[in-house]
Amino acid sequence: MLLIRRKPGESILIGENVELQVVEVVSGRVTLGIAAPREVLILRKEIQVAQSQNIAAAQGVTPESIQLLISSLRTR
Amino acid sequence: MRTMTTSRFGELEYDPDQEIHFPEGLPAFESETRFVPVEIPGTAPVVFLQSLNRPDLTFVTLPALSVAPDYSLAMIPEDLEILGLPPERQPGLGKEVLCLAIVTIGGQQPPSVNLMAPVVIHIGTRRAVQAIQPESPWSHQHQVPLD
Repeated sequence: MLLIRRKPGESILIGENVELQVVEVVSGRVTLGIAAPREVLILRKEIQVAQSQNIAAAQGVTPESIQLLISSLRTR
Repeated sequence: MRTMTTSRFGELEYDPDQEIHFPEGLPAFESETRFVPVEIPGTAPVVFLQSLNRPDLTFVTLPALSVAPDYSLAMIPEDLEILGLPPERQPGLGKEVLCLAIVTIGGQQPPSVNLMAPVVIHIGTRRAVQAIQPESPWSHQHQVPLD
């Protein structure tokens, strides 16, 4: 992973169309400003994690898997 | 009571007052805003969340406290505002909100629950959000404690 040190107000450019600016750093939190074309998807990473977990959860629902879960909960 | 035909339960009878409204849907299912909780005799503490829009979409959930008795919320202010709750403090579990963790089952892995991003339901208004909690110490793949 490329590491670059920046101060508030400074930017980096990614490719030709994306600018990422450090706007503010307050007590361990960084506010980022992103200028990018509309078609570039910008997502907090934890949202992507939740999306893939939800898709896996929705697909795993079968009568067998539910039965297995319930019987294992009951033996506790 | 109303009925709908679902893939999981066949003909499902439900009380429209029980409906849960997710104004923003769920991650990867953003257009699914209406769900109803289904509890089947003999399957406690499992709560199924059945989409009212998609008969084939059912989530299996467990109350977060049934999986982790010491569970606590770390919701971001934006999610608290969606529920119409004060953004400066965490809501009372079991008093103001219910907290359900979505279960992932099937495949090679043992069952796990997403405690990083639980479904939080406002008891009074039945508005809900899947609260992604970046600062939660809990995992999105917390293993269901089994013997």
